[in-house]
Amino acid sequence: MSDKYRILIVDDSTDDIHFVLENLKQDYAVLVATSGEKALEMAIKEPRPDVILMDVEMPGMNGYDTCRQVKNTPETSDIDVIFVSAHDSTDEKLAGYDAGGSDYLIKPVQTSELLQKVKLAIKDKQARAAVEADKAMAMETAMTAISSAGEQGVVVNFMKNSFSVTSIEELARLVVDATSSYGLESSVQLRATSGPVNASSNEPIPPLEQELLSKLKDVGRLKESGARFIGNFGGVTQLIKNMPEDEDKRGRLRDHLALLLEGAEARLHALEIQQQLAQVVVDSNQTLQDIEAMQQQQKQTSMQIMDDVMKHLEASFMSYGLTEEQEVLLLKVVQDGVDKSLTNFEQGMMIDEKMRDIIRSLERFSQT
Amino acid sequence: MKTKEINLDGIPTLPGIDMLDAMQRLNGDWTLYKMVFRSFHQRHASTATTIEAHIGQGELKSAARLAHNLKGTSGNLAATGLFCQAGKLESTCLGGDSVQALALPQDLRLQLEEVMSGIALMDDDEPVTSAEKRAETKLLDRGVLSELLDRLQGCIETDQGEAQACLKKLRHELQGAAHAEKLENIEACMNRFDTDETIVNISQLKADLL
Repeated sequence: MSDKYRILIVDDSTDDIHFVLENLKQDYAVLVATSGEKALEMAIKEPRPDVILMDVEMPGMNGYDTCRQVKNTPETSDIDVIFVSAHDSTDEKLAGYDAGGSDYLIKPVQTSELLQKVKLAIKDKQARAAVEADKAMAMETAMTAISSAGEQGVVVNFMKNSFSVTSIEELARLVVDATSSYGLESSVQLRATSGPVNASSNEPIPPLEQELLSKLKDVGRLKESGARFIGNFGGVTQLIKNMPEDEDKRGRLRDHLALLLEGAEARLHALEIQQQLAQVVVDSNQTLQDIEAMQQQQKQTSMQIMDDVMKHLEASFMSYGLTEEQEVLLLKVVQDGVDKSLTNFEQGMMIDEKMRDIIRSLERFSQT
Repeated sequence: MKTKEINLDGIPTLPGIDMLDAMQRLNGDWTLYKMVFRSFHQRHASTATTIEAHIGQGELKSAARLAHNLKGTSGNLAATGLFCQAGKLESTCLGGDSVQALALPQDLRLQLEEVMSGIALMDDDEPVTSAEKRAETKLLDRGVLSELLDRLQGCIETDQGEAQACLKKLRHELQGAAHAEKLENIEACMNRFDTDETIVNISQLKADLL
């Protein structure tokens, strides 16, 4: 295939065609049609002409009608049409303009003028193509930005939703679901103190995949091979099986996934602390209840001992030969001691209450 | 835009034609000019009579269209006087003045006859070069011919210049051969820009040769 620009000459006069052809054939691939109908047939066929040199007066479809059809056909509308006619009036030129022609040459055409007009038409076409390419590029950039904004939205949503998850299982599922929003199949492992938690877009997750996830945690932060992507952020490992081939999209997804995994790792860490704190609260409550029970037991035992001491003391009064006044005084001393001891126990119970307040605060904190 | 230097040596002066302008329009290709001139001669031999008849019947638009066609080609051939006369007749007919129009064909006829008389000054045959004479005795290289015919068939609809170059090489290859006549048919079709007929003739020549 010739890489020359293509010029289609349309003229019913073969004699006239020779004159134009002779001046163009060195620099251009010249096609010839001897009627408007044939010209339309040729114009739509690949390789399409870049410029048409169109006679006006032709039997059948005239040059203006042919031009109109060229311009109204999407595949050929971009072809420049230059009228070449022996008509030289302004009315005729206006008719050519109305039909969609871009220029008008009067027969007999001067060679230099012909070459200049054709060259100009080609230059205009190139300029239009460049503008079109720029427009296409701008559109592509806009589409990429829109698409990227959508992709970033997935990360933002993930972050937002991750704050409301209450378990590591939920978090793992959230990572898989967010990744699925990119059309990616993935499996993820979150390693908690209590053990690894796995989730996959293909449930149930096969044992081999679980094993792989455990092993892949040591391959480095981001690793790619073909359609496979492995991401490691602390206790989070993700394996993706179908990364796209498109390098631009792949690059964008890589960035988004890194953010997503980083967020997941931070949330995992927070969940771990939360869960540990909750356990501390449970343990503390239990300990406090034990202490309380022990204190109650101790109180009862002490009261029983005091009671026994009082009874024993009263029984002993007979043999001590004390006056009634001495007996009352002695009993009062012992009773005061018992009362102080009871007050002391009551204060111990108030300390329990204070500790319970602290645990309640911890409980609230662990649930946030 | 630079214009090619034209050498008019060996080219006759034709009546009613600005030879320098004519040759410049065809890049000095005298053979091509002769071919176009002959075609013009054939097409417009009776144009003046036909125009006169149209005017006589009040068909001024038809007369104007014919005058328009004549103007276009005579301009390309650099037949300056004829070009002007045809233009005058065209605009008079388009203006609808049948009385004035009736007076014009006679001048047109004179101009046309003057130009047409130039046909007698043209050599019918090109001198055969010594290289072409040597070619007459050589054996046909069917491989080369096949390739050239395929190329010609491939570019006849997409690049007329390339097609003409192929035809020239074929003419050289077939010089003096029995198939030269078939090549002339191809050439005639090409000169009429009848691509369908050209392709049919190429296929026939291929079948004969290969």
